[in-house]
Amino acid sequence: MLWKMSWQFTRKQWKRNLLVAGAVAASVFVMVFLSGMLAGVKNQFEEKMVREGGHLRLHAAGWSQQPDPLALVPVLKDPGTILARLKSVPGIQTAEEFLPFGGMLLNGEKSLFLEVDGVEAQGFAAKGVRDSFQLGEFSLAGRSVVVSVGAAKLLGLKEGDSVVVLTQDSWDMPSYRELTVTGLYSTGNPGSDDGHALVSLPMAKELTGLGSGGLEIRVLADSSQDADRLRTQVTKVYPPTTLEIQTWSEFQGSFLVFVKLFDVFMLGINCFLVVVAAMVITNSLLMNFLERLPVMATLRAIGMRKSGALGLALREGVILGGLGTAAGTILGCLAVLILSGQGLDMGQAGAAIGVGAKIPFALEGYLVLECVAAGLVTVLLAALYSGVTGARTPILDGLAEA
Amino acid sequence: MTLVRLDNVTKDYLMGTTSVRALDGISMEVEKGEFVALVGPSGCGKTTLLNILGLLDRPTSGKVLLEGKDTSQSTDNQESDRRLAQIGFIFQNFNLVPVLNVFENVEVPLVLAKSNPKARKDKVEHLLASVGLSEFLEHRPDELSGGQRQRVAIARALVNSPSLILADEPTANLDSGNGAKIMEIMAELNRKQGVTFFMTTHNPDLLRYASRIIHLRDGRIED
Repeated sequence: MLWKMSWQFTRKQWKRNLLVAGAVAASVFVMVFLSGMLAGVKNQFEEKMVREGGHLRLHAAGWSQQPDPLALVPVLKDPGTILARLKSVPGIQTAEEFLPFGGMLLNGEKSLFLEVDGVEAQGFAAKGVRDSFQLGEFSLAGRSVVVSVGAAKLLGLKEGDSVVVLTQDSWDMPSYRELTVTGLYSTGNPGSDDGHALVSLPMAKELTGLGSGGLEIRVLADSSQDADRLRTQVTKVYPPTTLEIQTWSEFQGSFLVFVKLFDVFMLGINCFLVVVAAMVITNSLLMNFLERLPVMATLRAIGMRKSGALGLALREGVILGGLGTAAGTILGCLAVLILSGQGLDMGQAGAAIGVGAKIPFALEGYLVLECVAAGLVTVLLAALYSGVTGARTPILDGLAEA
Repeated sequence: MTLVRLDNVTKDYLMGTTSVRALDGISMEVEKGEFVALVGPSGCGKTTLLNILGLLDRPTSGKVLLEGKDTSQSTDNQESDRRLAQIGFIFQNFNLVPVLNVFENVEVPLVLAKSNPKARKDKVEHLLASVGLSEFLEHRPDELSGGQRQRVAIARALVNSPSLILADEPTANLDSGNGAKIMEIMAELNRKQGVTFFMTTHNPDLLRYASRIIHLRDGRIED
């Protein structure tokens, strides 16, 4: 009966309670939406930046002393043997060679200086490019090069055209090859895309003259959380005097900071939402209870304890919080599900902050649960405050208003 | 048997910086089965006395003993429990819960007392039949006349079988016909079931229902 009484009170003041439920729904919707965006950006970070970039990067000792990150020294001797040993370490999913060098692409009078990456065509480092192919065919076989849509536009290239790749080899001699553009890609992040071209690892070695040597080995672990442990393990085999090993949190440090700042920013927005919603809800519920003081006083007079009066307020909070949270969660989840398929097109603004033209979304159960809990707790606290205020009002004051 | 005893009860109210004495050394007893009418001019302290008897207010000094137990040291919860079990209230404005129907309004004290649902149903139906409202169980208070609402309030006051029923001007908002009917019901309950009533009134016509009349003036009982 007490539930029924709370429900009937809720219905009786339906206009104001609609505002309360609406405020809860709106705040939960925004929280779920932002959480979806946060989860999407984090997933993208994990997928693109961490997985494609590798969890560990191995270079020859002394690499970190080089001022030029694209220098062709120090050379890793016999990377094939290192790769074979790494692949047998438990917790390492796979490992592959990666050979970045500075190069110039020449097409007639047009030229573009960029980073040319020698990669394994089916390796994890080239996954982002493979998955975002726009025109032509992803192939690094033979004398092939893959460039971004933006770079091709700058150089006046289309798929099938020839382009000269010019670099300085490990003997400081000019080295060039005429390669065929087999296709164009666009990951949605032109800032990064237009500064990179991909060739096969053998072609990169041919251009740089490194022969059987290498520059970098990328390691993909079973989990990003294992990176530190794996570094310790690999260091036992290859001490710092032979190899320098960095974990993803070191070489992706700036993005990690960005993600953490994003976390703090979202937390700030969520707190702001909760505070604004709590103010609206508390005021509305307080008005409800103040209007109902004569009834509450009557119930108290005929024997209801203060806790009983508080219970009525909390029941009302549960009803309104439940309805508002359910509505906000359903709408928020729907919006996130729709956007998780296509992303939210932010154009240049998204690219400028490094998340790509389309901001990714992902639905994460635990984040949704946090939003639901925040919505319910907000209403319950508001109801508790209103209920305590109502229950503390002297019975005679309430009866005097009857 | 003495149901209620007041020992030298005073009640002072603070009006701004001035203290006003509403009750001044009231000592009295109410015996079980009595029908007491408290009369006096407006502002003489009738309602204050009723509120103190009903544990809705505390005296500034003096003692209130309900069935022999001193209530002055009771906690808020103990007072609530005593009101629930030992005291029934009939208000001038009926004070029904507007969102509940007649049956539920009468049922509320039983729900608060955690009675079992079957016993609740039987008791509420029996009481509503005894006040002539069997046909109105599903009606909301705003669908009833003033007299019917007060009968619901009487049923609610009786439902936990309290030892004392306090009625504050129970017929003040009713026409004379309905007022008389309400008084008949109360008088019959007093006569046949021995229910103790303590009623305040302005209306001299109602005094004939009372077994004892107490006159109050300026916060004191007149001899």
